[in-house]
Amino acid sequence: MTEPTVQAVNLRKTFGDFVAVDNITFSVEKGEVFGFLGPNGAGKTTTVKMLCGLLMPSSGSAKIAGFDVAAQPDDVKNSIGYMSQKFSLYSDLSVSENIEFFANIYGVDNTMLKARKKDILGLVGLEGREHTMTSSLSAGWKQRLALGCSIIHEPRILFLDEPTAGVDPDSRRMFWDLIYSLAQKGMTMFVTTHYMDEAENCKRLGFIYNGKIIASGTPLEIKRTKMRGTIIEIDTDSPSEALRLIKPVETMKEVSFFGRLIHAVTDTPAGETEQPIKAIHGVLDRNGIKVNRISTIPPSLEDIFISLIEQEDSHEKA
Amino acid sequence: MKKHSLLAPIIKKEFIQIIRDPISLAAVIMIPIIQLLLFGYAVSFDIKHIPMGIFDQSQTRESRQLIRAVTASSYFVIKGDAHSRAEVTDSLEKGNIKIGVIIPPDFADAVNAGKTANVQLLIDGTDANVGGVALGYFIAAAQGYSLDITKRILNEQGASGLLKNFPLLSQRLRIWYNQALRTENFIVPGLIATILMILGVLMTSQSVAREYERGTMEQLIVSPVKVYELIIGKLVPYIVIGFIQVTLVTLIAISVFHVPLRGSLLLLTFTTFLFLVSAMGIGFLFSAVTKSQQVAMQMSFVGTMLPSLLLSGFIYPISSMPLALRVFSYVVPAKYFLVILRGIFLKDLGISVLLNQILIMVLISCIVLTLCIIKTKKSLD
Repeated sequence: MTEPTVQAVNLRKTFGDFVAVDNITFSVEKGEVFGFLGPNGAGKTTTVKMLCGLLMPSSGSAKIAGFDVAAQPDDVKNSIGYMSQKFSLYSDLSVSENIEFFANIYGVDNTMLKARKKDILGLVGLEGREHTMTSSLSAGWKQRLALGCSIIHEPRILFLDEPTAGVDPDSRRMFWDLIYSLAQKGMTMFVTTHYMDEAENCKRLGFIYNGKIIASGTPLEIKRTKMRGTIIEIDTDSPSEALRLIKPVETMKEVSFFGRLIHAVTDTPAGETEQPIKAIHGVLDRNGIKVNRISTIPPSLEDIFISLIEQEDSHEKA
Repeated sequence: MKKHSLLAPIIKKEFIQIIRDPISLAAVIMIPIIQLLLFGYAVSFDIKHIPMGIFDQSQTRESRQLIRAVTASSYFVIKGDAHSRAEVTDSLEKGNIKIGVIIPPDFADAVNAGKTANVQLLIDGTDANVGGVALGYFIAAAQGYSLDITKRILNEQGASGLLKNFPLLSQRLRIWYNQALRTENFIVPGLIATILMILGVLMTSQSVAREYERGTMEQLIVSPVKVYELIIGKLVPYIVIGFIQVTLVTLIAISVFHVPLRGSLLLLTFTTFLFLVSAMGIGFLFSAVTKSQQVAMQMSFVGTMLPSLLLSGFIYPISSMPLALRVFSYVVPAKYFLVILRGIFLKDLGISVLLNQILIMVLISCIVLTLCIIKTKKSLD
């Protein structure tokens, strides 16, 4: 394989005493959809800005498409596309004028421009609306147009910083389809998000918290390796009474509502849950609560990240 | 990838945006015209027809001669004769007169006896400017009158020959550059500098701050556009607008206010360009620092309006300011442009005389643009 499209080694950024990004190391392979996850303020945007050359790293290094962000910023700029959290378009320019402007500043040849513009309009689905003023597009369309503008120069890697924040679910779905189709054409996609359902869509993930990467790998790998204990899902007719009764059961780490279901996390590994299931069943039966269903379930990414954050926080306190 | 200048797309985009907002465009073209007309007509520093009250207790030929000497010019108008001291002070208090003259009963006797004759002057000092001018005019007139008396007495005593031994100062008055001492000739060039400064800073700061607010600045900075291309590209369209403003305002100065344009148009164009670069560079810098249209607007008003009006020498001569303000005035570009404008309009000064001002404006422009580049590069940290 060729070298990774993004390679960060001990990347660190401090603002005064505050450590925003704390010695993170990771890599992203060509053509992959890489999800960079974390709660707000974890260091996602700071990392992206360092990778795009908008911020200088305090220490460590990063290579984008083989170019060093600190030493070869111009080569980096020509290799990347960047879509920031805000819709970075000119609302007083038309759809077509926005595309042309970004094509021009990325040095797209005039002979190429027409074809590229047609491609982009087709890709984002704005054919026939070239002369619409950008300000009159809905948020979802603005976002697709912003994506179109950020790939006008066919970058090798596209950074998307919280691209779907504040967009309705339908548009989010459409936006992700666009991300996949670009990745299939070989463009590397680096997406930050705090939506866990979107994380499941990524080929690989990095989870950042308090400036540190606390988990990375494919969604499956993370689920396999990072979950301590097993989740037992219980469906009963009186969940609040059941919750109270399950909490003191032996080996229960954490018991919480999940909609009208109960998720009970036990210390025991996935294959050895017969004992705790029996114990829960027993206590509910004795108290006359009907159990509709009780079984172990595979953890969702959200379950894992919540437990990872809790581990991290208790670690911090200790 | 082929590397050619990315200036053109930025300039083009900026022009499209300017044209898309015709109301703002009309405003920046009309505001200087309206301001020039308003200020040009309203502001006059000529002090004439100062209302004067007189309480003449002497009522003699001598006292009337004094009064005639004082009122011969158009500087004072007599607002009725007072019959008591109280009447004079009352009129002063009410503001009916600005200056009160009280001539004592023994005025003529003193004059004729060759003694010092006292005249009391009461001046309303609330408007220090008018008060000061009134005092000056009065003293000048009174001295003229004293001189007349001196001559007359010497004549009467047959000693007119002595006059030859008095080395009297003779004034041959010739006023240069503004022969009629018209305020307009002084005010209008000053107004041009002030108006352009304020609008120049305001326009650029708004346009750049908008890019920060909308997040497009980030997009430009990650693109291959160089920071200097970005700055020049943003400034060029506003410099063009600045030239439109200057042209209109100059035409009005010449046609409406009859301000003579005696100097070189080429020099005027060149110095205007320098001035616009420095003013708009300051506008760019303000928004690179504040990144907000609102704050940048306030900064533009406070940072340009007051200094250009007060510290440029537009109204108040810089030489009479305290040291701290004089030092501060050195960084106000309008100060230099004002000297240049007055020099070109009224005096037909050439580049050699204005070289200092021109060099300082070049220096200010260089410093401001360098700061813009540094600040923009760091602006996202």
